[in-house]
Amino acid sequence: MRGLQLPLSQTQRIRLQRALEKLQSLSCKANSDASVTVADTIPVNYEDAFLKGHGTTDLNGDLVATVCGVVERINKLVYVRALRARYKPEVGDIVVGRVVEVSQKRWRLEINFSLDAILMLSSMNMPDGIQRRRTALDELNMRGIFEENDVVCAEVRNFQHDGSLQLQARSQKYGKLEKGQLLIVDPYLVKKSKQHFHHLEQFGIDLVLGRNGFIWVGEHVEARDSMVVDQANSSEQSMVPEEKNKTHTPLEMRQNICRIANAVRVLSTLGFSIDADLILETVELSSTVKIDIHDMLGSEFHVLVAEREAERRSLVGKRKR
Amino acid sequence: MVGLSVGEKHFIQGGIAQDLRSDGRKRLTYRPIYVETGVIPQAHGSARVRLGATDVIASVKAELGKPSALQPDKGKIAIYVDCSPTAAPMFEGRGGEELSTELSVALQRCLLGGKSGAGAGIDPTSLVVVEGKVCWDLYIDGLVISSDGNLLDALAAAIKAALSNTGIPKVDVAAETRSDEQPEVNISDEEFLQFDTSGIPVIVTLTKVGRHYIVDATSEEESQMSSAVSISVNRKGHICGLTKRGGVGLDPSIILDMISVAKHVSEQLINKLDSEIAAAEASEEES
Repeated sequence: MRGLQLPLSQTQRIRLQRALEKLQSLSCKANSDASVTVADTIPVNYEDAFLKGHGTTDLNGDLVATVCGVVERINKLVYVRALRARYKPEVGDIVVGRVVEVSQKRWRLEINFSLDAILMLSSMNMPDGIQRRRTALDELNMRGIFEENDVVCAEVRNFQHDGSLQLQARSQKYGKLEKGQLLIVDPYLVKKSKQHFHHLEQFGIDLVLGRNGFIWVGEHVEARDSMVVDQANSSEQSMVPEEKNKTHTPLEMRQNICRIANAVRVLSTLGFSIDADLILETVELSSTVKIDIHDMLGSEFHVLVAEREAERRSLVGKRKR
Repeated sequence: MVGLSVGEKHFIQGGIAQDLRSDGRKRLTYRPIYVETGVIPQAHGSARVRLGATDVIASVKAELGKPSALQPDKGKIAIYVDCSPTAAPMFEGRGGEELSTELSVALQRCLLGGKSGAGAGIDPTSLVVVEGKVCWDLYIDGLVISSDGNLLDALAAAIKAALSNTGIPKVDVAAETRSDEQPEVNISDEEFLQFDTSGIPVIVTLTKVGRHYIVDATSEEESQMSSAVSISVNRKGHICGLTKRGGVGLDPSIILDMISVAKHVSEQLINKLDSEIAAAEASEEES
């Protein structure tokens, strides 16, 4: 648990300590012997042939961990999975990235990985929706689709032979994300789940949980229809950016966006896994306690969330038994 | 600093126009301030201030020196700020130097007053030991560890906290000295004089985005600013210094309006800061 940079009063400190201890006692069971810190020896049967993986090293004949994490064993491979590292992509993951460069027939996106991810022009739906070969004109109009610093949601397609990542954004639900804010949390807090796109109907808000730790909270946008764009429509679209300058997000939706964003920030400070249900519960907690949106980032709310989570997990544990 | 897309910029500007910023604050609300004092034991006084993700440290060191010939009854104070390369990627190598000099000059102007020493927030006459011969030289250093906007306010708060944490050693001067000789001084190791910090001003930076001003901008909001005015106000409500940044010109009436808004905000800020400093010193004494 990272040192919380919060001004906690004495009682708040005690309550938080108690809640965190309860959570720790609930979670550490069989896995406690699998977690290692730097320079811990990893329990391995030295007679069997085994492969030393990432995060391990041979020191004086012992297998020693070089990172803090959990020991994973797959067949003969023994490695340590670091907890707080850069995002480790898997094929099929949904990620949210920011365009850093527009190059020949591709966009380069930053996704909190050791390399920039690549989104090929051919992996992207054309605005007119027609499936066709990308021409030179399409290549020149790439900036009309995504520009530098745009926030894009895409799916991991495969790894290149040099280790870099290729993305694809073929479905209607992927694409540019506007009218909202991007939050950055640690990648290990977003676990793989069935759904990463959440449309919260009661707020009218889209929530995209990127597995790389980039979380997007914004106004709900209907999935674009792939309709043919003719001259009349294209002139209409060119007027829209100016109109956008005058129409801002309505205040109530903005309040909901800020509340959800602050809920995500609180969960990330406390180190809890982030999923849509927990975020909604936190937002409900904040409205029941009638706390101001900005005060959600104060110490009292952090302590409340920790206590609530400890209660919830102990209830789940009791139900299982 | 990471760039922002057009949609995000629009969202931030809309939030400021509707008085609800990205983290739920109102336009004139500060982020929670967290003060720790005594973080550098070797210095005479030090403090660390966290304002959201902005993290700065200020330290005060005092040395005996000779007062300048033009002002023999005043001590000397030097303020210098360094932006650490770990604070932001653009500070790598010598990238942070321009910002460091800008912050140092702004702080000097706000806290030390004019060249003649008039209107200084810190009273230099309290630093003199023997008039014309021996005085204290105060070296105030600021270090920016992490930058998320509003560095000037955080640094001024850190300097105020560091000065209230400063203990200047007591000096015994040998009584009989002729007027042209350097007097002998005996620096005590035990007795310390606390600095009087009630007159030290705080700096309130108002950032203009669109048609509204905000206080305590994060680095995302600062990237959208047209101009920013930093006003240093002391407890009595007097203006001790004014600095304007940003290329866009401002109508004089707007500047006067900003000054009155800053005075209004500074009252709450001074009270909050004083209570935080007192709490920090109390917890430092306990530990």
